Amino acid sequence: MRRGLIELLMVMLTAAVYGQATLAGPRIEAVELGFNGRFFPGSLTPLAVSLSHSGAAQIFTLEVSQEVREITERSSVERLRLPVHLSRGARKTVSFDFLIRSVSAPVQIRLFADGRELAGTALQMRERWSEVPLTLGLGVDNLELIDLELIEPERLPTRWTSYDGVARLLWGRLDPGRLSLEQREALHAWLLQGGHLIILTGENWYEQTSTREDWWSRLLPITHGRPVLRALEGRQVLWVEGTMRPGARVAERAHGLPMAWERPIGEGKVVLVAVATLPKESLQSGNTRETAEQDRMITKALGALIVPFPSREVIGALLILFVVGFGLGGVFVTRWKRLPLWGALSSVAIAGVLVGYGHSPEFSRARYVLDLGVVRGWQGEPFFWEQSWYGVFLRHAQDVALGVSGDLVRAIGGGAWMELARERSLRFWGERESAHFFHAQRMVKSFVLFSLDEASLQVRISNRASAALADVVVHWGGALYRLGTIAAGAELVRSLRALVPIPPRQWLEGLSERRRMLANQWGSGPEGLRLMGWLEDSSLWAKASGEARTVLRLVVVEGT
Amino acid sequence: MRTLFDVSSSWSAYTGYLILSGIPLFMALPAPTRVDALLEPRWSTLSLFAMIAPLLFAIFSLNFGLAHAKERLSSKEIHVSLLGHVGFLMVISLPYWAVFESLSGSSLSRLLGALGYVMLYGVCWAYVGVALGQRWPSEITQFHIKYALLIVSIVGTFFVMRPLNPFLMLSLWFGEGAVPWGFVLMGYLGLALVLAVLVRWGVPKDSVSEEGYRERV
Repeated sequence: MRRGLIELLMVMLTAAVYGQATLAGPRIEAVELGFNGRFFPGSLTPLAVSLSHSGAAQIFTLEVSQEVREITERSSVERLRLPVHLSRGARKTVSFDFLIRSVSAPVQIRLFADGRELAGTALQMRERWSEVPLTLGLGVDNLELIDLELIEPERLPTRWTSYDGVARLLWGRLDPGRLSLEQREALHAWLLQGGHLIILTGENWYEQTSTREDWWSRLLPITHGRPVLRALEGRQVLWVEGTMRPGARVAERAHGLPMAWERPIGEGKVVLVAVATLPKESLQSGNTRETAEQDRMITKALGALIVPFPSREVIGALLILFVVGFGLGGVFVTRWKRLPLWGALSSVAIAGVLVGYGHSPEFSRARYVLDLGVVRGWQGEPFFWEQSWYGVFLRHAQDVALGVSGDLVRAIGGGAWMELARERSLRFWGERESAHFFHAQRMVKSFVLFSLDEASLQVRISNRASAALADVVVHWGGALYRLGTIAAGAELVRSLRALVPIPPRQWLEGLSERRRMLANQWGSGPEGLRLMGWLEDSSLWAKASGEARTVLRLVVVEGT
Repeated sequence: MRTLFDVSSSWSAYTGYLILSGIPLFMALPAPTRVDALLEPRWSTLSLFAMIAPLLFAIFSLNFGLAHAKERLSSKEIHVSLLGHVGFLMVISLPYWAVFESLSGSSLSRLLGALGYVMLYGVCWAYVGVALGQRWPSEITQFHIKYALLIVSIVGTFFVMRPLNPFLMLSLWFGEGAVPWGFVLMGYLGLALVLAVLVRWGVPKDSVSEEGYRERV
């Protein structure tokens, strides 16, 4: 009886200890996916993971992954790892963007410490995915649109990458002052990349202008806006009028009046509708991303890259001399008894030298990275949009951690995963003599200020980058004007009258192959004022040892 | 003991080994090339070197063994001299292996592991050569038997006792995946066992008496 009681107590004690240990660990409390759970597959989707922890303070690794099995039965895993520090009793929400490739495979969320899985959950994707890029609505509850996702202003993304699966944002009765600085910057960056912001004014106008927000006013296609009461089709409607801003256009008219104005912001646009309802035409646009052609560009450029092997002659000559010397040694070996010993020592010494030389960068690099891209800017806008294509050629099989400069990175063809430990790095396994391609995007603060005084044709360019802007040209009036190189942090003021205009074709033909490749893709734009220059300083970008990286960026700033 | 390391008579054999195994390595030295050309499927003589060098190493070691069988040497002398000759063959080929290591991207530790195996493999064949030479003095018989044995053992170990196959073992050492330590260990232990058997029964205890040796010297 007594023994049985002790055994029972032991079992209870064990259970208590086990239970305590389980409770003391970290837990995944909740996961929020997309916008109200809705997302567009194939795009970066915001994920918010709520964690709690009752044990000792520790750094955990949060891993999000999705294994996609293709029709050929080959599988690829999209994976993101980020470190999370949780103190005792902490509740923390970790927010990030994850590329959801498929709706048929679950997204796994796991929490690791010291390589041991401590908590995990799986999200099924089938339920609320969208066939088209999303349309978000802020304060527009009176609209009856099928694909509209109404969200609270607090839920508006704070990172531009979260907008990856969003095509349009409808703005209704909402004060822009409710947006945080991060939200404004994310919104602005998204617009520059091709997002469409549709502002429904009319009776919403008072709410939209209740607090005077400069950032908001600068986005609008009109100035001096004012609501006017009009009788239309037997109804009194509040109709906003205003003075059209330079660069804007009337997108739609009704009853002989401008009903919608449109203003391009970078690649995107802001549409201001004079009333609180949505004209159907305003929805007939979406993000068109022409990445396939650009992806092909990096494949071609990497293919043309020469892997230098300057040591062929040196090593060949050394080995030939070694063999000839050894062979000739046979003539003297009977006379010099110590010759074999010297032969052996020489062989070891030569082998040592060759091993040392073989691991030096002069011999060859383990990998060659070609990093081509474009930095696009628009005069007066706070951000530049940098897109880069990485082509990686591996001479030997290796586990690669490639430092990339990008907020949004995707592997062309898959097979890589992202780690956000100290700095953003792509991890992948590469086989011997294989090529891998990636596309990265990020928004950077505008670093080239550019203006042209049309009266005096005096151009003023300020380069705030930490690298020289090389071979700068200005496109104006159908011709190009060479301005030379502008040093880092320098300003250049010059009159175009003093320069010889060059036909664009002549300029293009004078470029190197790689530059021409980029210029063909992004150098030709609408007729008008445009600045183009080149960044080639590799020290600006992260570079690993054993890696040869060639970096080239075309900087294009559109003028107004 | 001075004669034990006398490699002067086999100098041409060493030179021959260097020339024969050097040809695929010289051909594998890369020239500046476009990436798209490197991505095309193509034959690289670098892997040919990794096959030819150990094979020639085994053949030359076997020949050393046969040559030692003709000499009137004590068993101790045979052991020391064989190791000296095979070791010298390995040492003079080190510059080649250093270049191979740089070109293949393999690590130095893997190279040393592989060379340890090749050395052990060569020593085994050298003792096989001694055993053959002492049992079949006729050179024509030796020629037939040694190549028959080599072919049978290499082809056979692709199917049975695979850790004793040098090509399989070197492909694991120089391959892209992790080294299967169990398999590798079996290879080393297997060779050590074969070597122990050969040393025990392949070399007669006293092929020449100590007095005979002194007379010869």
